[in-house]
Amino acid sequence: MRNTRTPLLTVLATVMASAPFSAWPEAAYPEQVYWGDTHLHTSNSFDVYLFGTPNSTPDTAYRYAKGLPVINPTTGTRWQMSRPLDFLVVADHAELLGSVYRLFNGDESLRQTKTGKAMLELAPDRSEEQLQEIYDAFNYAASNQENKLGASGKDLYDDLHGGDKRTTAWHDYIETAERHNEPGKFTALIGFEWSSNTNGGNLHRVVFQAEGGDVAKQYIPYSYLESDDPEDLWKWLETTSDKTGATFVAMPHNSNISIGQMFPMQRVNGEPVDADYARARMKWEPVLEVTQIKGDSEAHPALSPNDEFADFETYDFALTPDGARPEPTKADYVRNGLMRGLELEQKLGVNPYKYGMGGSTDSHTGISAVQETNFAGKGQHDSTPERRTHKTGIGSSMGWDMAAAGYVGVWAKANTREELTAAFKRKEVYGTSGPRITLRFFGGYGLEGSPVDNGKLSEVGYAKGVPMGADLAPAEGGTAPSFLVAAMKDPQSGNLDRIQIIKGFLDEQGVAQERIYDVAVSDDREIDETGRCKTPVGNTVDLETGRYTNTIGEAQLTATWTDPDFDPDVRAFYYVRVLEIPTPRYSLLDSLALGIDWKETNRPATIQERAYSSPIWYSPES
Amino acid sequence: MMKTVLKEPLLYFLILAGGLFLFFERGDGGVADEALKPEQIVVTQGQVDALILRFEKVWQRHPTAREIQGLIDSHIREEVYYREALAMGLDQDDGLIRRRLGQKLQFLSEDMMVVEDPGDQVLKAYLDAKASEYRAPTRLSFEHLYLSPDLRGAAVESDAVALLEKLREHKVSAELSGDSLMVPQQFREASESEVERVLGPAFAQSLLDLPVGRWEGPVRSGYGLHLVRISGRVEGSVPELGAVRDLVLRDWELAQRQEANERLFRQMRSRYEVRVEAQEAAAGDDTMQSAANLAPGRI
Repeated sequence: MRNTRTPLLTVLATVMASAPFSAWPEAAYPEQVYWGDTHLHTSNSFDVYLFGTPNSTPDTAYRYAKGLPVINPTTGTRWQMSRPLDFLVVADHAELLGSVYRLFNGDESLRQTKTGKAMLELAPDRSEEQLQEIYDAFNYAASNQENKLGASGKDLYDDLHGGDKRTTAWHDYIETAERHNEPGKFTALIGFEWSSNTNGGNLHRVVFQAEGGDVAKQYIPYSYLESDDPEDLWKWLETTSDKTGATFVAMPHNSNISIGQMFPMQRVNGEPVDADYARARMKWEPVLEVTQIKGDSEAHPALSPNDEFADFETYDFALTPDGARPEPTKADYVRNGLMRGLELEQKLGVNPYKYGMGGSTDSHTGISAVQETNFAGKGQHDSTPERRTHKTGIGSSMGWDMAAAGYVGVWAKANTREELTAAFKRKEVYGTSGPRITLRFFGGYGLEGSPVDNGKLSEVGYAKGVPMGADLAPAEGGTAPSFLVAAMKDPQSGNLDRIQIIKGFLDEQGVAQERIYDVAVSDDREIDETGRCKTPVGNTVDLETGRYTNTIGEAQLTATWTDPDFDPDVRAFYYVRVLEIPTPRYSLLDSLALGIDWKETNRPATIQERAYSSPIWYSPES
Repeated sequence: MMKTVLKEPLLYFLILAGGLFLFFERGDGGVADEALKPEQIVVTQGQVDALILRFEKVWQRHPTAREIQGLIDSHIREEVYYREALAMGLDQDDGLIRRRLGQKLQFLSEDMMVVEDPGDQVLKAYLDAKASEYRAPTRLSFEHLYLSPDLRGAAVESDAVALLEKLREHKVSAELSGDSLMVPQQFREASESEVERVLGPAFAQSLLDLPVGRWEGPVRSGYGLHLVRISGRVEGSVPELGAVRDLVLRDWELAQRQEANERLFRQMRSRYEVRVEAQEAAAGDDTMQSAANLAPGRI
């Protein structure tokens, strides 16, 4: 059919619209946003199993992501997504990968070990309480503290992890991924999670690769049992990539519970962050998870007091057994990390924290179910509304402290492992708290007054500017940059309240500052001379029924915006935050189902879902 | 009774499985000593070799003589415990053991299945029988104009009707009409699911019923109203075997395995008379595929 199209039709198509939709990657630039979850756990993760979910498989995870009905592994009931995802990374913990599952399913080589035997003794009935005891014992053992298994960190390593203990599980998983990968239709990226917990701080990274199983089978996932220092992970990625040809992407997440360690001034070895550290980090970690079930890491109200939207899905329950809730620091939140990156770049010549924004679930239920109306929970302990009144066993959090979030949108030329990975590498991705908001963001010079209609926005954006995730060089004469931004609502979610551009920049003392600009707001509200709109969009949520209407807000918002406070000599970044109108949080829906007051959930009844673009960076050096 | 049993493949399975069991457990490929008394424990050379092999796999070196003695001792210890525990019936109510034994039986039956490429004729028949799963979707080429309820308010419906009339009478250019939306105006050979992921399921469904060639509508999406002109339609069709042979072969093999497992279970099951005495449930169709094995569909 494509070959029989007459030249006239082709010409017409070219003239009439810039970029028609096509199932084949013909366009010169990415025309489609692909939706996925880069961070899903199954029973191959020791904690999923030990939270009491023994039957979650990668196969179920892929089928759910493809939009097929599955049996929810935590509840045994039928679950289905309202529409499929385009890709999925099943990223089980590399530590003890598959070993707990295989131990309890009779793997002889594991049952014969000291730790294996102790686990079988501690959990003879495999009840939820017994498995939780093993989970706690693991946490203590990993830091060589006394525990009910009588195991040291080395015992865990020797008995359940080292040698070829994980090979079978890894290879089984790879084969399932290969079976589900359908280029152009659904992409199964092969990956795992390196779960470093230095001093109780979450320094986890999800690692995935562009290539297929033949490459992945040449290595065994790197874990914190090998080293908890991210610099060692980057070295491993370097040598493994050289050896196997793998193209890796590592994604940090949950900086919010890193206890001051995700965007540090000091390396794990105590030395100050230097240029080599910055280069290694940025080589392997182009994008992070800004939002996910264990909370939103974009900004904290105490660190950004002028941001009335910063207190969103705030989550500060550290993964320490003592249930600590540490104070936020500038090393814990992404906006502050990006700002610190500018300060360090000024000194080192390289920015160690030049991150693009992704979002993912980190679900431990085995399914990527994070819509407010279809939230399967973080894991077994908060899998039903009834159970969310209790502690989850994850830090000191309760069920309703979990956020129903998030997904990552990827601007790629095609839905394949190669094209998606390439988009992560160039940071042309953005994170959302769940809804599939379409978001375009371009920066350049002389973009003012550009058309933002239909496909023309991206045509102009790519031709005259750079997309999200890219760098902006200075213009002659120090002209201020302008930005094209457009956001379209998720057709199955709330209307849009506003588009904001958040700027980070260095002041005269070289200290990073932040500034928020509202650049497009709904319902004819005013943006004042300081660039802000302080009038809230309103709230249509009926707390008695959990319903809302799209009578406020707008389906699409667009803007061209020029930085009014631009200084050509100062390095800066700009990223977009899009807010939806308030819609019911899942905890409100739970409270209605349970017949309790929503205030008992200790969480707000309504939230403003959102999307975060990867930043565009301006540097005075060309 | 005995005669009917002999005719069943089940018996052959059990005989063969029994043989495998002896082969693996004894490790010497020999036949079990018929006269072995219950209180006798014989550790064969084959078993010791297997113990050493397992040790080498874990520790990456050959065990010392003392370690070999230790392996044999703990093997004997395990054997004694095992036999005593069996004699006391400790295996009876253990869910883990029950499940593990069931698994081993399934693995055996799957391992014994040698699935070979059955040739084009069988695969073609399988493809025909499951044609709907392999059918390529209908693809539509179309353009659409968007009318925004945010911009037009209550007039959006009447605006749409008026614009439709003008378009049909060629009084306006389609390119200059309609409101802005971050969705391509033109779609080329897009399947229902591809339209669905951009404009939602209701919109994609309505499109399939529209005639080709002229402006139609308004059609509703999650964003508002649309006028649509379909310029081309490629009907979905079942592909030739050659185009999907690998896929069909993979699915056929999976189906063969599932069927064989199911057949084996039904045969074993038929040898029991089952009576469920609980009030809550009658003896339902326990041969039904379990929920965890829902066949993977294709979309």
